[in-house]
Amino acid sequence: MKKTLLTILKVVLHVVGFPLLLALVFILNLDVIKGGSMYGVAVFVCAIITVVMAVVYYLAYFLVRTKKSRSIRNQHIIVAIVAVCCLSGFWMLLDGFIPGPLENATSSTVRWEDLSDNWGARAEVQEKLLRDYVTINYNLGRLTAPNGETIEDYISQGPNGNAELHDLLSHDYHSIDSDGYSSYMGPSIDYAQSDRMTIPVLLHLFLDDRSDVQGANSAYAKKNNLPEVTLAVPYYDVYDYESGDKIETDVRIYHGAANGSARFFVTDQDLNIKDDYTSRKIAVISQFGGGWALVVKSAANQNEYEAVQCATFSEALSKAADEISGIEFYFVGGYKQASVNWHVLDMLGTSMEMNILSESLVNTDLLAMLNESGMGIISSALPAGVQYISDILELDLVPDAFALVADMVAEDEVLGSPIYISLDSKTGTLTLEPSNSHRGVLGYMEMAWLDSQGLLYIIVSLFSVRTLFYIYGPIMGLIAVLLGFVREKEQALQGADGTATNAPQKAKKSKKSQKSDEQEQPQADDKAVDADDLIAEDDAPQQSAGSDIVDFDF
Amino acid sequence: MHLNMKLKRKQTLLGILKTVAYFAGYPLMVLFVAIGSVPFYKEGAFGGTWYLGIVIALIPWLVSAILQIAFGTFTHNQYLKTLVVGVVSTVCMLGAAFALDLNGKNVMEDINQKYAATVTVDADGNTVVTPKQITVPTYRMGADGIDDVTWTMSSTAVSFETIDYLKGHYVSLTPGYASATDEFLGELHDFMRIYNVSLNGENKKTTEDGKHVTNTDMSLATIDPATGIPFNPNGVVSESYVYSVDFALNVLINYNEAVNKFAKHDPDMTVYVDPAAGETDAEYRARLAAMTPVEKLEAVYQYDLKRVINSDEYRAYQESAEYKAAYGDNGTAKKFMLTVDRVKELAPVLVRYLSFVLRHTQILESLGAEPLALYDSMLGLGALNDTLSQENYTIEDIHDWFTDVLVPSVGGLSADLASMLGGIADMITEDNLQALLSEYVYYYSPSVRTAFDFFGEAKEGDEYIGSYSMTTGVGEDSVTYTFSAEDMRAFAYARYYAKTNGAYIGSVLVGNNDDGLGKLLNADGNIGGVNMNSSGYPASFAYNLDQIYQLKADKEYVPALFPTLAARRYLYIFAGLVLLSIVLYYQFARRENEVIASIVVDQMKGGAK
Repeated sequence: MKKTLLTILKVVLHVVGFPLLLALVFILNLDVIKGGSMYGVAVFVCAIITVVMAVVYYLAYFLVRTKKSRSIRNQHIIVAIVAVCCLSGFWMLLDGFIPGPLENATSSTVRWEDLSDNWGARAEVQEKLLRDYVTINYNLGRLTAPNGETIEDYISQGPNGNAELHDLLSHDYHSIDSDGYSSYMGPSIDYAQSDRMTIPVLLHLFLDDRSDVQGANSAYAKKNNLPEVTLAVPYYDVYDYESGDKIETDVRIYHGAANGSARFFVTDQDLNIKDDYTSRKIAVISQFGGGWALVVKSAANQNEYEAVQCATFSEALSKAADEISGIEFYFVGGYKQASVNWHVLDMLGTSMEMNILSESLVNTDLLAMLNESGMGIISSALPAGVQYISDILELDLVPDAFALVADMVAEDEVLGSPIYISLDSKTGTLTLEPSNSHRGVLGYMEMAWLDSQGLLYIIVSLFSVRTLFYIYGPIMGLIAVLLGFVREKEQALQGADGTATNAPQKAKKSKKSQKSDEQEQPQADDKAVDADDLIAEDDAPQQSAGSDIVDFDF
Repeated sequence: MHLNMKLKRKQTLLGILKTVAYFAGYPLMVLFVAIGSVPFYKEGAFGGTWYLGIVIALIPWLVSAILQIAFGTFTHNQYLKTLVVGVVSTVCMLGAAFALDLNGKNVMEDINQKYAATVTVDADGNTVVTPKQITVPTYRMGADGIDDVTWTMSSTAVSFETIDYLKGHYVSLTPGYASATDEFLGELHDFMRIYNVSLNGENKKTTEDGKHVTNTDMSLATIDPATGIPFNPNGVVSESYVYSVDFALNVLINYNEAVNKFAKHDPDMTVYVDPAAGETDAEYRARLAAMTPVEKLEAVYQYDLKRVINSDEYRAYQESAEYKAAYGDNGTAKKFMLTVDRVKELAPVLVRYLSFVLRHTQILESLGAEPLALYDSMLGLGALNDTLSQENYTIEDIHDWFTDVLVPSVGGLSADLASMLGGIADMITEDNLQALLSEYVYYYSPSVRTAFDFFGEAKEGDEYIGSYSMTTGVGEDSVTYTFSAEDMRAFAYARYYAKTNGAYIGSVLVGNNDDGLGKLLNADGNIGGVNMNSSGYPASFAYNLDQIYQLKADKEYVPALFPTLAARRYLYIFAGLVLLSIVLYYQFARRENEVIASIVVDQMKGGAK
């Protein structure tokens, strides 16, 4: 009965050891595993490392018995040390040595502190990055869904499982890397990233000539022997509806909706007007959201444009003919590969806000001010409905002008990448928005994370077991010691059952092991001595009368 | 069996007492020293020194331990062991404490002599002691401190009250009483925060071998192994370097010492400062009279820098190959400067878009104007667009458009407007534009000597540009003050690091009080981390020269000395306790051995039964 109980206890102790730890690792990592399942083995690093440690533990568990002279208690103290070293010790080493190299390897974008206790958040960030990237590009039409993929399909397949997504991500990252980040030569970009973005630094980042290291001269292009690194950018061609002939290639579309007198015309890339379509019946069909979007513009109602989602191009075209009777032209928008530049706001991927007008200024009554100062003649020239300065900011011409400024900034001679400006008419806050969401590319750091998503999942998965290992270190140590007790009890029972059979074996044992065995069998009738035994060193040489007294010097 | 049990319990008890006695000695002392060293741990200022106290405390322990092991092998005479180990231990501990006291006193004397006063010999051979108004604490409070240290360093009265002393409170035991360490770290952190500098400096864009940093133009600056500061081939510190506290302190000392030295001079400022437009003579004189020493030196510096640029020496250098490679046609530096060429590249794009906006969008229409008429006839942008579309157009062409097209057309509205536009037109020259742009460039080629490096070399006639001399008093009372071209050069370098490069890296050490655009860019004379997200600190937060000397002096002795004081404090405190622990340890060990011997005898008796 007692023997059965001991066996059950032993089984229980074994089960709550590494098997339970492995189960806990899986349970705690379920979200990470689900979020990064497309990265295959990367997300299972947590389980692999646990299994490796378990193997080391069980090897130690059985190998310690090979030295026959070693007492059970000593065997299990060794096993306990191995268990604590494998779990707590392993992480103490990593904690000591990882932080510096990790920061260097990730250019200060991922730090030990971000992962040690926040690995879950990191995994969520990674998952969200992919979701953002896929959603933006699906809606922009840069992901064309050739097999009818949905956003969820792209996310679940991941870059490793979807060639189109992989290609797009790879092109995007290498573009923003080689024509963006890597083209910043001096320390300015480092200062911008480390809260030292001074105005001189910003001017350097905006104005320095980087043409020597961009495009075909970029480090990436040279390394891979490429003519240049390209990005999928939008283009528009114009077709005659009747004949189906392409009548203009790669045009810019401008439509201003200012105060009821909208215009719609196309120019070449140098802003020379090719055609005025203001009073023509046209449709604009462009890649969008895994299919095509049809935007109808009728001559009668120039200000209202409504996007219609269509599955195929021909569906969009026939729908256009249905919507516009006597349709004359249609514009087709798609993506072509082109070399582009990036500026520092694109690197950061975030907008920059500046309070350039005070709130009291935007709420100033302009008409009253002009009339009081005897400049009524100017006020009469103002468009109808303008009274406050904020009214001027709300005129359609303001965003129209800003749209052109964005295009101007995007010219190669200026920054080569647009800055989208908006002005809040209520607060007077000027917002400078980078091109990222328009181009479908996240900030540089995010793109670098996405590009090395698999590697980051390995690190996240590794860190996910950190706290668990620290908790389980002492638990496994205790389990090892308890297993030793159970085995001692079992041996004691065995000894009581078969003293006779054991006797000859004992006779063969060395003097030292005999001493050990004496200690392994506690004397039930003398608890004081039993307690002494616990304190005493197992392998400490026994003192004998007349022998030299050994000083135990610390 | 009963006796055996009692003896075993006794053995256990003695074993425990022996252990306790041992741990109450050296281990406890080292623990206390370690706790006393906690304020230094993880403090960058004590990065390489925080453990010094612990190491020193371990030495007597190590010596005693070696002795104990040696004795364990050679002798079993407990009394001899107790006596010898006890004596050696006491000598080691008190000796180490005395040695630390001696070291502390010497360090403080050196620091006092170095920083508390400058000793010079005047023309008549008299020793002139110029005290600096800083407090360098004496090592020990009391009369000997005054006599031995303070009195010799300065003849100015240093009263007992003003003498700071640090031995007693490198780390305070009194709750709530700020220790010398707290005060030092507080000062250091304040300085770092206000000036936005790094404790030990920081190198951006370090090469893989760690020996160089990369500059904006991809040239390499060599890191000085001793200081960690990267120097460009032209001798200037690289723009990839974020200042260390020491670097910033030295720059501020050079800057302020130059200003103080120049303050003794009284040059005729009408030479250096022109009257402002519309300023009366009285106003002009009043403005000059109100100038502070730093404003005067700044004005003189700007004036002299122009003289240096026009000097034969600098002009000759401008003919050199290295200068032309950087600033000549297609020079390497031109890529990182806002040059006239860059503006000429941008202008056509700007005009192209402006034309497009005015010609083809509703902006002018919305304002109720007749767009094309305004565009072509009044603003003449079509003509400008045509001008700028030409290859190799010149700034002169823009000037011509201004005078020939815009001024007659728009200026026709009013005479004032015409005169204003005419004034603007006159300013549109390539030289003016270059001058305007260069003010906001913040870029110097790392391989070309800066113009201000020529102070001390550039001459006008026989005189070095930037040198000044002034005599006050008459006869025997007369004193001659000199401000050499070398002093001006030191000021120019300090000014460059403090203001120009400081504004670039976001560690402005001296506020830029420029006018116009400069004022906007430099947050109105603020210092420290002036950047897009922060406006730094107002100039009133700046440290004065005495505070800077103070921190520099503190930084030189505190990090090495204070951690040793942790050992000194507990070496004295524990000297007696350690001796006692040694005596008790051997006593308990001896008793334990006796008990073990009795147990063995008892067991043998039992066995005999």
